[in-house]
Amino acid sequence: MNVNRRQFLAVAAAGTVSALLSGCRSLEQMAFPVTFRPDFSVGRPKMSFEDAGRVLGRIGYGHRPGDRSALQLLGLSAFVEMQLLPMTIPESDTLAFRLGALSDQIPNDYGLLFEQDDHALINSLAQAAALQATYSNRSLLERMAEFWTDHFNVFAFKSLDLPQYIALMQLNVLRQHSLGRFRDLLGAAAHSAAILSYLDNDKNRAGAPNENFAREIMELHTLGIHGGYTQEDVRNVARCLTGWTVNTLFNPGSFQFDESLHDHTRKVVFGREVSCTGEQEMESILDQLAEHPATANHIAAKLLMRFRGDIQPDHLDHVATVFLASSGDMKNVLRAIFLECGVIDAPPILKRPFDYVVSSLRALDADSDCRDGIVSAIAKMGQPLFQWPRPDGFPDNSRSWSNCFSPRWQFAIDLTSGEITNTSINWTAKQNDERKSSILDTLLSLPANDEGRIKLEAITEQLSSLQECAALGLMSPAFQWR
Amino acid sequence: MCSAGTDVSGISMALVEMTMNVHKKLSVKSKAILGFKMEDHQESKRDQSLLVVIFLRGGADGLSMVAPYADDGYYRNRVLTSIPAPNSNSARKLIDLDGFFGLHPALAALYPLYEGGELSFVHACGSGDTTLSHFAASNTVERGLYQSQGDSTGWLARLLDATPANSRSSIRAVSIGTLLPASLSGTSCAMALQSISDLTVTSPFAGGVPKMQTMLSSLYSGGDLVCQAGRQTLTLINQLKDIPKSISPESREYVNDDLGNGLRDVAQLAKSGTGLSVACVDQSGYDTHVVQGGVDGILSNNLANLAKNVSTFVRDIGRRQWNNTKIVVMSEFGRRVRENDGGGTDHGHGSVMMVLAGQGLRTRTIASRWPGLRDDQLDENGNLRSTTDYRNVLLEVIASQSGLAASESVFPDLRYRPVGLVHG
Repeated sequence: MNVNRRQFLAVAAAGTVSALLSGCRSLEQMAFPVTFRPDFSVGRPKMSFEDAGRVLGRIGYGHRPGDRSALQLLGLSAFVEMQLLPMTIPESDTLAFRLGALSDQIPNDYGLLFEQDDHALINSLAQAAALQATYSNRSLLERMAEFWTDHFNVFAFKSLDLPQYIALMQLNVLRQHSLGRFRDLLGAAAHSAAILSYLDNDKNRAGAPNENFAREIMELHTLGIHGGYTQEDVRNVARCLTGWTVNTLFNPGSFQFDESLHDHTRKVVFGREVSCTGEQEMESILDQLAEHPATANHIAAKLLMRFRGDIQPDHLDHVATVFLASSGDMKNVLRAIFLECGVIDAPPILKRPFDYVVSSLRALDADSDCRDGIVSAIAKMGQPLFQWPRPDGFPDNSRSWSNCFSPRWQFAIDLTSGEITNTSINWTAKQNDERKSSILDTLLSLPANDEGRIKLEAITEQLSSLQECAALGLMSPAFQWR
Repeated sequence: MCSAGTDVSGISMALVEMTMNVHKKLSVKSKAILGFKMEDHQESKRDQSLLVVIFLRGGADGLSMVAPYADDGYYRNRVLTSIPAPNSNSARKLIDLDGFFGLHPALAALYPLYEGGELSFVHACGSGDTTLSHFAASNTVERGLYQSQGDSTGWLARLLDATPANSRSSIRAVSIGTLLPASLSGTSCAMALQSISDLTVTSPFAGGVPKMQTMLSSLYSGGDLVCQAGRQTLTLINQLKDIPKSISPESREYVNDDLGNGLRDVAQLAKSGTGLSVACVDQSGYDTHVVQGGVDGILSNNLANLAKNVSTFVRDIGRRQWNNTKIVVMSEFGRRVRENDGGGTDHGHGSVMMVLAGQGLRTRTIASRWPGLRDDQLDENGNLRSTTDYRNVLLEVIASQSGLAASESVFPDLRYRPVGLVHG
């Protein structure tokens, strides 16, 4: 591959990669798969600045300095293909450093993990999520990890050990399978201590079935509420799930099938007899659930909501068809959404609090440990991470989040005035233009004739402090949308 | 109507006349209602009628809250999760209500309100939801439907739209919590906030908060939902600026949980004359599939907190506002009659609703037609049948506050049968 430095920078920044800019990584690390041939026709922007801003806000967590112009050159499909192969995108040193500093709080060692204080651990997990969303170059992977965290929601404080189980689930289930096959993800989630414990399946045994997980796996994780199952199916899936429990003794937090708790009698699910195969009974149910058209529809609809903000019937048909045809391969599904359903011309989506905070930090290129100051700000705006108390996860529609805005405004003021602990912004780097309102372009991707932009410009031109201009930009209605 | 007057045919002219007559009648009626209300306001700025809806999330076990101890089926189906009968020798047992039902001892703090005629229970209430799903059932119930029928606004949103706005306030409804509940979806005069303390904004920039507010007002002048919510936030910031920060002794007694903190804020808003007419607060943790407990345990703790918070709220808002306040306590469904072998209960159907009011409650006895707990009396899933459409309870409550005409439009497909809770 013959790439000149300017082209290289374009790809790197769109990834996007501060570490690469320092030249410390070799190009080989960016090896593209054979199927993907980037078009390096330099100098011809493939999309407008505004569209680049939208793409970065929707597929990723918003732009960092330089991202938008780099994406303009790279183009949408090349960007999507790169993001679909996250392991080919080098990770930033900042992220490695920041996460490294967290390793004592989220220890790899099981023994140490289970010694952590519950609330402290959840705060650290929230901190890690914010760090990854803010500093990772693999934005789509991060977005999908968040999506699946909502999809397989676990409320951390329902019962003992859940914070620890959530830590294991984040690492071994959600990140690992974020962009893989749905069946693998579903299987991993169904075997995870977090889900089994949160949805009471560790109490589900022969003669004393507990329906909780059986119901939610069909209603929320796969088929959807109108997926065609009956209360009888719920009862019988619950019986298939008897014995699926959590090992709490020798290998805490690992899956265990307890033969003695399993209901070995005859069961009929979805009108078909389930052969009595013990642990395998549920595996075959999982197969059926994962390849069911209702599941394809349900997942497609949720993904469209997350990335497009609406569900058009033809989009839903198309994405669900791709889901079924590819056996739930998320790369194909996401490609269909981004490249064939259009993410640019969709209606605006109101940023959820996590999104709002992360995109603020990214736009201003803030240096932050994303600790309590950031985590508690996100919670104040209504999204305490890992603490949504019901199994359906934080909602996705814009109306749900158009609430009291003062916590967002206070965050904007605190961030720009240096009030958040261990969070700083290099203002001198942003003062390269005489017009204070140039900071607005750093934050927003609005065309010059946009009404909101004109209003903002008029106001900020009268302010004396660059920080205050930035605060106002972050507080503005336009910055609430992605 | 005037412009059409020149070319209307005889028939449509007649229609126009009929319509005008109806309008005349209606306006006489509504003037009477308005006149009554205006007198109220002249008496005191605080006399805004207030409806508080407490939603018990997860499906609260009505059979434990108000237990039918005299129904044989109760102790037959409930072993680990039952509460000893009022006439038993146990130290902690049901508080007898009427010889058939008993109040969970953890709700004892509410008993004085029951004795004083300020609390009624309606048992075996429910919707037509048959999914046994939290999300489907609460969506149906919060939208005020019988069964799910696609997209709909929330019942409280329709109530707000049907009743005249008080010009003093643009925030007529709040929900204290992370998000707006479905019951308030579809109206622009409601807002979710986690805590009124969030409305205290501070700014180190020159000109401070007042200048910031002016700039934000200008930025948030648009019509989309962000701008609407932003303007409401600014209004509330302004209104709460003048509220005395002093805390009443009662307000220290709330339990430090979402419900307690929420009710404290609602009381504060009600006391400070912001014109609040509807408030929603949630209590979570009622999805007791496992180790629900009986006299003690998860459910008992939840109920104790509920009772402590509600009784504190009643004292906190003061007699005058209490006389103008109604509280409804409801859930998405009840729980399975037969407990499971994990000491818990699975999703059920019929459940109990609680209505509290400072004045005007007609009866303190249980208004219900009891469907019974014998196996052949339960529904096909082994659940308590509902004999009262939950919307009859809601409609009777809101009709007592807003008049029947306005209230009936909130549940257009309901065949209204008052349960006899409230004086006419």
